[in-house]
Amino acid sequence: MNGFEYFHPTALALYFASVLFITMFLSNPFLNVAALVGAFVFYAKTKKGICLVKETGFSFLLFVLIAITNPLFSHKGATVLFFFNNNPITLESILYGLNNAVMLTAVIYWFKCLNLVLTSDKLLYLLGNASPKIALLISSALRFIPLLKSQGERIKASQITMGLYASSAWTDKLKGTLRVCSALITWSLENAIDTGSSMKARGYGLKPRTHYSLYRFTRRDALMMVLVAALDIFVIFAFCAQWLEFSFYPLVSYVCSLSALVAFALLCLLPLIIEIKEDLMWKYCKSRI
Amino acid sequence: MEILQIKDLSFSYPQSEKHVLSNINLSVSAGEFVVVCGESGCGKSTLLRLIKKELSPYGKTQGKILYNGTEIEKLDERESAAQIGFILQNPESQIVTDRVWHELAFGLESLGCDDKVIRRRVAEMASYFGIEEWFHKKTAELSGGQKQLLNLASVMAMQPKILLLDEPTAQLDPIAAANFITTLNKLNRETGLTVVIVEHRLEELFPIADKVLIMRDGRNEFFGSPQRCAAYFSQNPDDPMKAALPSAMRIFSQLEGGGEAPLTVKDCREYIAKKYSNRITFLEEKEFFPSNHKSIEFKDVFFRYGKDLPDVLKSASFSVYKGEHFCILGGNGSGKTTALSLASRLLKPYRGKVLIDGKNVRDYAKNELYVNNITLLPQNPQTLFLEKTVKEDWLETCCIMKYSSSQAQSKIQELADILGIKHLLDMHPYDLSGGEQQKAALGKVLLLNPKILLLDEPTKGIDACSKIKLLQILQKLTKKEITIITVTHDVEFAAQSADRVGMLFDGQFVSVDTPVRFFSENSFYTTAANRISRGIYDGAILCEQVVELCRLNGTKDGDCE
Amino acid sequence: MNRRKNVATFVLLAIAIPFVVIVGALVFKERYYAFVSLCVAFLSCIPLFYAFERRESSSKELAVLAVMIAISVCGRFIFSFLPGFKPVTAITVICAVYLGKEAGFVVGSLSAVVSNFYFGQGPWTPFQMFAWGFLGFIAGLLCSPLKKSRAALCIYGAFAGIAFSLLMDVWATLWADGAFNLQRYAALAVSAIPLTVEYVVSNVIFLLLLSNPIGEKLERIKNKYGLFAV
Repeated sequence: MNGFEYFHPTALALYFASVLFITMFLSNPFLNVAALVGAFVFYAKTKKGICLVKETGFSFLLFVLIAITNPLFSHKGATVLFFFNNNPITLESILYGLNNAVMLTAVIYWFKCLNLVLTSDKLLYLLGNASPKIALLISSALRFIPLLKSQGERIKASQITMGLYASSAWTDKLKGTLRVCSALITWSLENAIDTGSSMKARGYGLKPRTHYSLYRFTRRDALMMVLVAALDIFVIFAFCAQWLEFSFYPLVSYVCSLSALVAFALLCLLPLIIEIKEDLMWKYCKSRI
Repeated sequence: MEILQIKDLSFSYPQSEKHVLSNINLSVSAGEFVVVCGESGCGKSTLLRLIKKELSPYGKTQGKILYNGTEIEKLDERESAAQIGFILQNPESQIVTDRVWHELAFGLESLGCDDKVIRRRVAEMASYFGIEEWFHKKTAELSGGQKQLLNLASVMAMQPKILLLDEPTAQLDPIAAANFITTLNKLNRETGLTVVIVEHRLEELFPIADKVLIMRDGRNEFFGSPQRCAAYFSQNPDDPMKAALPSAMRIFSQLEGGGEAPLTVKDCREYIAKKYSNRITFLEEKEFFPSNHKSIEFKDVFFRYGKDLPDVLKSASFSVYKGEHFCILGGNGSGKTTALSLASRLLKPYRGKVLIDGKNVRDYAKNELYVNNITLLPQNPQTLFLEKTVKEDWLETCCIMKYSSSQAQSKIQELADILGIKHLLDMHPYDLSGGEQQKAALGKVLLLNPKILLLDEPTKGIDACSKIKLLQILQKLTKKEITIITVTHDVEFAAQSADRVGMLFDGQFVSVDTPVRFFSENSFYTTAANRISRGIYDGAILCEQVVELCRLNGTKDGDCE
Repeated sequence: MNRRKNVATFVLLAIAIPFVVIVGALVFKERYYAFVSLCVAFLSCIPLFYAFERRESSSKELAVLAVMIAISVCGRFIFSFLPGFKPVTAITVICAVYLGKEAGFVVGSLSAVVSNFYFGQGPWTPFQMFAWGFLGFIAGLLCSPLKKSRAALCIYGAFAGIAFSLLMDVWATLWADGAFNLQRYAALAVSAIPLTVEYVVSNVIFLLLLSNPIGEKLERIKNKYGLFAV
């Protein structure tokens, strides 16, 4: 991964917000399929290997589970296929369940991509503009977590050599862990006081406070934001103009504007296109060196 | 020009009659490097915190503190935050954010600097302090030395005029500490930054200090140049701070030979070579006769932390005999602490054997190994404390030992006596100083009635006086036939206390010998006293030995003293 | 000034929430419930965050809150040998009781965000923020009975466990179906009974075992440094 994640967090946030918003709330099976494909290929490109296979297997199970449970709860629809426990199972409700599964899986995969691309520092940057205090709080909590983990291990080791783990019973283990937890809290609260002093010493609390970041907004980011916004507006317009109507019940009926679908597919494939473009450019540059 | 003036400063905490500080008078000129030292509890940290008004402890203050002629309380908030930099002892807890770059920018954000200014200053700091390589890292991934350097850099980003440091190197290993002090010296020399530093480790600080402030019981005992400081100690030979002085000055002040006091090893070598003859070149060495009972034995021990990680110990073998004090020296990552963890079964070797009293550690039942047998005092004594007071903490251990309550009381009293912490039993462990915490932790460990005591960096973060007390306690313990293994960076401590010293390098013991032989064969990895006397006398590794040899030989121009 | 701003936010929300509901109903037809629930969860957190943002808090208070969040997240690692035993709710409640309702809300909701940095953010993040945040907030409102009686604390722990589980089931139903299907909700709630029981048990156990030690420590730090004075 070398292209997409280097966009400015604002541009990335706009991108993910649009894709997720459209996928989650415009509920159109065609768009959902596009979203799923887009998310999956990008995720597959960035995360290769066994890990991917495992995850795909898991999401497939979830997919099946959501798809098959809907017909059991919903008996709407005109085309009855068979009866199950005296309840009609309809084609429409199966399709509806399938659509839901596609949508949910797509959302899950988009969130997976989001977690890869919009890492904690970028999210904190975005949050910092809206709420500097909460961003600082989260940043500081993230800084304490590894510290607490290692101190927790040290405390546990000390407790073992102090003979506090006399047996391997379940209750003993719980007691021991609570002891570690309690000692850890004393230690970390004392540390927090030091951290507070250090913040104070460096002028925390003076007004106004600014918010610094390493990110720079470039022309590339502006271009991408304009493109994403244009595609968004087009798709939403198409939706509002009822070019993308889809109804499952009582019979499946739909209108689908090809142009809107293409626009959304382009939006979903954007990260992959950027990645491939960067790869090719890099190869081209290298061949010229 | 005076950047800092303190006039008749007294301070006491609320609900307490005792003055923590009384009548302190001090003036520091711009660009001076001032070292503040004194026993723990003498008020030096309080003094430092009073100068930085954001950190002033709550209490009754009399007298004045002037920064550039303005009283501290009347100083503009912004000015005080930016111009008076403050660094605390613990490198970990001062870091606020999770990324290095953000930490560097933190102070500037508080001052409300705009993006451009922050960008430039952060870049400047990163390049000056050599932070570029880890600029994007998470702060949790840094080493202790890097963390403290980051703290320094993020304070310096605010462009302070005066820097106050409260024992900044206490938690660092000697190499990182020396590195930190070198950086401070560079800042002082190259930018004219005024530095006021409270510190226990004076060996590297004295040669670069302009002024030294020695405090005792909240009063300033002495304020002047380091050279004049030697004269002060010659007049006050009982001052407990003497133990903290650099070896060169300690030798000088004990010899009472007069003249300009040497501050460095080099100066002291010249001083001795010029002044004292060397007909007698060595002292009778005390032979070490180990008992023939092996308390701990490592037999070709191999250990690594993960399948794909390199071996930390490879074929490490050594034995420690009953009642012996064995010191393990070695650099960072040489496997010293790992060896202790293996001995206490916190880790298990993948090849080789660890034997305690001839029996493999694996074959001991769960608590059989830790009760009445082997015990470990960890590097960070705070990891041992669980309760609200030291006494409750100790009582908990008594429960493990299944002492009756009267037995427990007498045990606790006896130990508190030996360690000299009777007055601290009812205090919260976190309200104690570093040295006191160490003793409280040692007491807790000793309640397990160990035959073998493992100590991990026991001298880290404690002052010279506590170190001497620790030394005496350990001597008492070895007399009781308790075997002690100490892992330490502290060469001086090893030289003073150990029966034998072993050096770990690349996962193996490269040399094991008595301290005298071990250190006199090394030329860098040895005590300052040994470096001072090298080539003049043989096998002198402690200041006292050098002084004794000098006295025996007498001065060149005269007869024996 | 401060007060006026607070009032303004509440008014804003009073307009925003119905607006969201109406727009949702008009535009999103089938996804209506999902959209609205997400927005309501998110929007209802905002006034409290806003109040927190506006409030002067000392650097030490902030650091203490950061540590408490870190602890509640670490709890998930520390107690990992007991699957499903998460002390997040318990620590949130204890913080609320000893440090105030606002602190409880902040610790609860931000614990959700921070722990999802490790376990993955998702559409469930706002729901968790909402659930843990308000469980903390309510505990803060009830702080005097909860502080005095251990029975009350247990009852609240049980309530919190059930509430959390039911709330998450609402989320799951809305997301799986797009609309609130009572049958599916019932089915989910029933199939989640073992999980609910686990929440309840772990909350009660953690509250019983941790409230005194943590409470004492928080009190000590509060008194020693004069923090979180109301």
